[in-house]
Formats: sequence, structure tokens, C-alpha cells
Amino acid sequence: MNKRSRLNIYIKLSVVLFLYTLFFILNSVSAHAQQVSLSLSPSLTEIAVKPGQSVLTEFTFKNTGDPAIIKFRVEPLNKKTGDKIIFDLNNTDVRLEEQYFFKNSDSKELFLGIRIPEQIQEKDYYFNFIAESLPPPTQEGTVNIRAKITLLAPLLITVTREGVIEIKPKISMLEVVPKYRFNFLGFKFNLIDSFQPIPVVLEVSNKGKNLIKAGGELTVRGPFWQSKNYEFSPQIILAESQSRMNIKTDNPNRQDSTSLLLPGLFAGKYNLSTVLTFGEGTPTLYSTMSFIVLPFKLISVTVPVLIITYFLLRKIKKTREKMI
Amino acid sequence: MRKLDTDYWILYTIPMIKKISLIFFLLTVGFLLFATCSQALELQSPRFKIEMDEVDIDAKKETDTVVYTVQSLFGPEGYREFKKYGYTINKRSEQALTFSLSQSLIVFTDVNNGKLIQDQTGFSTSATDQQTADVKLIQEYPLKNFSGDTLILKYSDRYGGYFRQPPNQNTGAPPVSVYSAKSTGSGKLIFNIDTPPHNIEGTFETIINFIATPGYE
Repeated sequence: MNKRSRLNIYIKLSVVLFLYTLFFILNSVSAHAQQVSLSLSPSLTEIAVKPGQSVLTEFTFKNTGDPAIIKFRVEPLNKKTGDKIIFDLNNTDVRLEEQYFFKNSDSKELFLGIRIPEQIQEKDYYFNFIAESLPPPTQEGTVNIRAKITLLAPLLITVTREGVIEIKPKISMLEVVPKYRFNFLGFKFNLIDSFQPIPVVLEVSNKGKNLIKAGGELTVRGPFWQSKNYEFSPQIILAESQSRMNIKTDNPNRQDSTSLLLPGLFAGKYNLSTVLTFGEGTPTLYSTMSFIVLPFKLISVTVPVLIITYFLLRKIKKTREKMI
Repeated sequence: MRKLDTDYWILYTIPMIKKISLIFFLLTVGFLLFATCSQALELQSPRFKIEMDEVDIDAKKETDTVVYTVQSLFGPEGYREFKKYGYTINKRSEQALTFSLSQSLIVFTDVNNGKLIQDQTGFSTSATDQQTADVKLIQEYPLKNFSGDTLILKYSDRYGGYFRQPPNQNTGAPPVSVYSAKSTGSGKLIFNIDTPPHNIEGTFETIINFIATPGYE
């Protein structure tokens, strides 16, 4: 076999190999663990309705992950809500409490009908509209952790015949979380170290039978007439409950148990005040408190050093005088 | 004589300066600690302005029972709609609450070695700009096989972090929060199982329910 014919064979083999590789790349399916991704909108719905009335509200559900089996249902937020209000899906092909298969990128408009009975107490009723995925099947002979996703979209229903509601808010706590706290002559002092972030907690309680929306601002004033405002948008507080205000800042270190994390302050007495509003024509609540910021760490290092230096200098001076 | 006066002046002035400095220091500390800004709270409208020291008018007592209308929650448009149709609806936003999980099935195959085995799953959430998305989890039942043998499952939200058992729905425990973030965020969970030294047989399985809810902001 001469060199030319050998070369031709090699070229043909290379072309065939290339075509097979191309075919493999284009048609093979990569293996990966099942990914679930679900979305539900709107994420929260508020309804005010008269007794005896029916309401229709829409939800959009979308499966943006692997194919999944989904069930839709409505559950009360707590067991005290009762089951007088009736829910039903007005879709022809989807019902509550039944399972449906959703392919990747499938979406569905859901029309939820809500029937309020005529004889019902006028107050708030809270539910969750739920989209829930079924967990994947197990693999035999192994240890399986199967994940299920439950998306909750709160349905907050206010039943009122004449459109009248109760707004009964109260500022239950406005506090900083101090490093030290002491009482002196009947006054309470919160001592906070300079340059350390200061956690602030603002809690509002709702004593009424209807939800309220609390918004407003928090102001910090310092000893040299400096001040800073932190505004926060209205947040829902459910009936007969209490909530910690979530005052958004860019501080990534804010803990979930605080409303706000103030940056470290200089030194002196600071005043923290808040103004809360609850909607058009509603009362405004105010509250203030004060705290002292001192550079404790700096003082605890500097003062002993100064004292020791003072006594050393005195001793040196006395020694010199004796020598003279 | 002049020299004596000068020495006396120096001997007298230095302690006086020290005393004056001390008094000044104490006055400054006193001012910083106890002085109250007269503009602690400004209350004003186009018709009036009040400057007060400390205001705790409503801090410790409830407001009187006052009756308001749906207009306070839904605005004038919502109130008109309520009066006309008998109901009004306010939707938070058309933007969806989205939750994604990278692995909905975690499988451990080599479980008969008496060692700690681990795997992880990542998750992400997406909500509106002004809203938080909270993720909780709960274990529907213990990790067990058909014979009722159980394995202890633990989870953590970071490598080297504290591992704990998930709450068990069977015992009535509530779900625990594993993540809370504004708008968009992601996290991961690491699961580990301490396998027994003896061989285990059968298929073990459990269901972990991830519950995603929006905040009320």
C-alpha cells in the first residue's frame, strides 16, 4: 500500500470520527440531579369583602425547572381561622387538592373563587394559597433524601359589611441592645461601645381585629446636632399579633432578630426616636429613647496606661529631688 | 526679686491650669453625657411646629378604639371599588415568588462503612425588591427503611458549621428558618448521616419539605 492510499484512509477515518463526535455532542443527554424551580404570583393578596359576597382572584404558576407533579391547595394560616369561607378553582382542567404534571416552562393561570357566607363574623381571616411539588421517587437499595417544595402566597381577607375596620396599634418596644445597662438615680442608662454596630429593635403590636400597615421613620440624633433618618415602607401586621419592623439598610450584617443595625457612633448621648403611620387618616405614634456611647475599649486601655505613666513620672521626679 | 516673682508665678499658674483643665474636662463629659438636645423631636405641619424634648406619649399605652374604613388600607380607589362591587383586591405585585432547588433527590450509595457521609443541595429565592423571602424546612418523618430502622440525619448551612437535626413534623415541631433575604439570594444546605458500623439493609428514605414564603413588607 503506497503512502498516498494510506493517507486517504487516514483522512476518511478522521472524517468519520469527527462526524460521530459531532453526532454525540449534539444528541447526547447530560445526566444531572433533578432540579426543581417553581414560581407563584402574586406573592401576597389582600382582599376586603362584604359578607355573602363572592370574589375571583388570579394566580400565575410557572415551572421553570425539571418536570414536576404539582398540587394546589388553600390552608388557613392558623387553625383558629375556621372553615366557613369556601375556596374553589374556576379552571376547567385544574382543581384544588389534585395532582397535575407540569413540564419544564409550563405555566398556568389559576382562577381562585372565594365565597364568603352571609352569616360570618366581621373580622380578618388569613389563608395561604399553596403550590406544592411532590418529592421524586426513591432509588432502591440506597439512602434517599427527597425534597419537596411548598410555595405559600398569603391571602389576607378582611370581612366587613360597611367597610369599617379597626386600627389599634401600639409601639411595644423601641430599644437598643446595649453592651451594658445600669440604673442611676431612677434613670436607666444603656451604655454602648463606640465604633461597634448598635442593634435596634422596633416592635409594633396590633390589638385590633383587622390587619394594619405600619410605616414611618427612625431618627438618630447625636450630641453635636447631627441626625440621620431611616425610612421604612409600610409593613403588614396581622390582627392580634406583634411584629418586628424590618428597616432595610445595606448593612449585610444585620441579624434577623433586629430591626436595624446602626453603624458605630462617636461618643456621647444619643437620642433614638420613631414616628409610625398607619395609612390615610389614621393616628401617628411616636416613641423615643436615649443611650450613651462611650469608647469603653479605648478608655479601658488608655486610662490604666495614663495612671501608670503618672505614677512613674512622680516617682522619677521624687528620686531626682532626693538626689539633688 | 524679679526672679522670685517669676518662680512664684510659675508655681502658682501650673496648678491653676491643671485645675481649670480638670474642670473643663468634667464639664465636657457632663455635657456629652447629660445634655439634652432641645430639638430632640420635631413635630410640624404647614400650620404648626412643636419642638419637644422627649416624647413618650403613646409608647406605653394603647390608642383609643377608633373606627376607620377600608380606605386606610386600600386607598380611595379601593374604597370606591368596595362600595360599588362589594369587594376590593390589592395584589402585592405581579412579580412572582420563586424558589429553586439544585437537587431534589440526594442519594447516598456507600453507607456500610461506618463513616460520616455528606452531600449538599443549593437553593435560591427571588421576590420583589421591597420584599424578603423566607425559607423554612421540616422533616416529614425520620430517615427510615421499611422495617422501621432509622438513621440520624443532620443538616448545616455551611461547611464546618454546626450540624443539627431537622424538626420532625410527626412530633408537631414547627418548621425552622434556614434562610431569609431581601429580593434575590441563594444558599446551600449540607446533609450528613452518621452510618452505623454494622451493615444496614433496605432502602432508607425521608422527605424534607422546603417552605418558601414572602415577608409582609
